[in-house]
Amino acid sequence: MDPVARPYDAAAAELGISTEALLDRLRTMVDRKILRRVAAILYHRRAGFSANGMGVWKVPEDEILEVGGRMASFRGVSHCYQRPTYEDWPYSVFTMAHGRSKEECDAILDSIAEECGMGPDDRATLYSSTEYKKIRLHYFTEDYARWEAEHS
Amino acid sequence: MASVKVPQSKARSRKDGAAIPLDETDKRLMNLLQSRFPLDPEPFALVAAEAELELDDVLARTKRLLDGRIIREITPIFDTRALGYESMLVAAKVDAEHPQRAARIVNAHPGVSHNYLRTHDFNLWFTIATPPDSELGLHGTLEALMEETGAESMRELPTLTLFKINMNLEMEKGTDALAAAVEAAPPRELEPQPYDEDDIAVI
Repeated sequence: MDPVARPYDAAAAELGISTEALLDRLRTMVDRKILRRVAAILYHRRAGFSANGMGVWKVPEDEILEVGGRMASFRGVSHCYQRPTYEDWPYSVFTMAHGRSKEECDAILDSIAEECGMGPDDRATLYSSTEYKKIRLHYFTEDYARWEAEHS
Repeated sequence: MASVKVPQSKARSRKDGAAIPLDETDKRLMNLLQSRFPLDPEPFALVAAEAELELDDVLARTKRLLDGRIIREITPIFDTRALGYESMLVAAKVDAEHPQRAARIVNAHPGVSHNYLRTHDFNLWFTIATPPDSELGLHGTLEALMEETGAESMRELPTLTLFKINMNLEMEKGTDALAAAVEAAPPRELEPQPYDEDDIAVI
């Protein structure tokens, strides 16, 4: 969307509907949980958040709901999930920390460890060294069928 | 369309590390724009009122942040799983000498939104989605990718419980604020939700 006083008008015109009709549709999509929100997305690195650390935690099965909720509550954590474990992957809870430096990411994850009583053997931190791809997904396009035709 | 990004330049000298100078008003505006852009015919007027700024100032600052590639875009953020797409995080162990070869193969799939090299034996981490009408399905797609990349191991790490998803960078406050706990929220719904042709047109 463009930085103009009425930024929804262009999309409404493209759809051939009024701006109010478009906004009504978007509001119902929020209510129906299809649309999370409308918001600005930043270029993390250029905005100064050059580091991201993925903290992964060995949380016992029966504590995951409680501990996961506490880990999610940290302001510097953007994503927090429970994921499955495997014989070579024992970590059940994932917290993504974004900071202006590696040290800031570590401070966020250390604070979580302290608050949630997690020891050094209960965690690992994975830093990204190269970003190969980061895009917003395009839905309902032909690309998927084309890829499958070429790869099956 | 899939676009592969090269690592960004590290040339930054400013204290807060941003690529162009940002004053306190810019940072306040960025916090507001990231949290929730109003569903209103004149959303910037509401943002201006909340930030206690003039509308023209908000528009000019937002344009500068877009042109300076600090803000990527202002956009609806849809829920991939609610749209019936199967999606998950995947961890793979690929050739550590030439990880870019496997990365290129993974990147070519249109449903791959993120793909990173990370510091671990599981060195390639990506998120992938397949549409509701996919013939291969997500599992079949990963089998194809495993074969083509020659990955030693590929682990499917779907979300079992979603505790938080809110990509909202704190621009104004320091490390203490980032490392502090704020209000906890209950786990979020993950089921596909119904939608119709008009929704698809909007998307």
